[in-house]
Amino acid sequence: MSGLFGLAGAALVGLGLYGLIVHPEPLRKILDFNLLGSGVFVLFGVIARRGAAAGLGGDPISQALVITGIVVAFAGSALAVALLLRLHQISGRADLGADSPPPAGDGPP
Amino acid sequence: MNQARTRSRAIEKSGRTRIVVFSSRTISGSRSGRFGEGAAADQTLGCPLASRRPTHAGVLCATIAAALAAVVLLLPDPAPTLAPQAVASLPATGLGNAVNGVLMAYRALDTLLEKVVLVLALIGVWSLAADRAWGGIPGQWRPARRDDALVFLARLLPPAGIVIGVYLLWAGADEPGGAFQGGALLAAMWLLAMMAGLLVAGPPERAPPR
Repeated sequence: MSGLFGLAGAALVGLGLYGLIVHPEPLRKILDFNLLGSGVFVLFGVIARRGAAAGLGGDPISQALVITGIVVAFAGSALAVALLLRLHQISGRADLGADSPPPAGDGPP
Repeated sequence: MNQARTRSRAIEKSGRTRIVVFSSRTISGSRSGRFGEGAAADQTLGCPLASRRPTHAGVLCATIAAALAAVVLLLPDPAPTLAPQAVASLPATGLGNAVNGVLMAYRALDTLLEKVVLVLALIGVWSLAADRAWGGIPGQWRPARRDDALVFLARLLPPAGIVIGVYLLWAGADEPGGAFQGGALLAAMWLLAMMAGLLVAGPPERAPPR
């Protein structure tokens, strides 16, 4: 059973990495980064489950690391979304076209 | 200028060069793409390349996923574990749950730095506020529209949710639970009331009529 979850975690990492590379939009990159992180968390859960010993259902070190990782990923995602929101407020667009200047009239009031 | 030259050279030359250029921008994009700089470089350097040739990205990501799956599935049969050591020292911490023992005692510095990360992210979000918003009260936020189902749930769920959240924190000493789960539930109840427009983080006279 843990093999199935291991495959699912590895597939999530692959999908998230693919989306992170292919999609140019920042919001999609944030989502894909979270998908990648979720895959890593699932992998940690599988490794914890494989390390079940001493009457426990899993290795408590790995399980505790997943909790810490979820909090840090949440903080980073919130900051990234706030940055994107501010970018949209300032420039009126939610992508990162570095070559072309922002359209006139959409600047800050 | 330099980036454009690199890109045109990559397109002109053979597919091997293209892969090299592509993988270098992959690394830069995944390292700093969340904070915008790498993504900006993607737009100028490699994004047309990537959207035209997503096959390379697919092959790369499939390889990485397969390698990860192999690593996880081919762990040695007595898998490496620290559970015996964690259980052996658990009575000294006064906790009955091994995971919370790790979080609160063995790796307490990790947990402390996790809170530091949260505070830094909060400061970062605050510092993004517009200039005219400085000096005001954070979190003044009106719901876009009043949803009757949301208001109903925001009145129904928080009493039970708050009790369950406090219970999770209390039970975390000996059972699965703890500060993370209890705090997440409490924050969800607060957010639910805020999203429904029942609770405004501002002066009381500005609260919308119930």
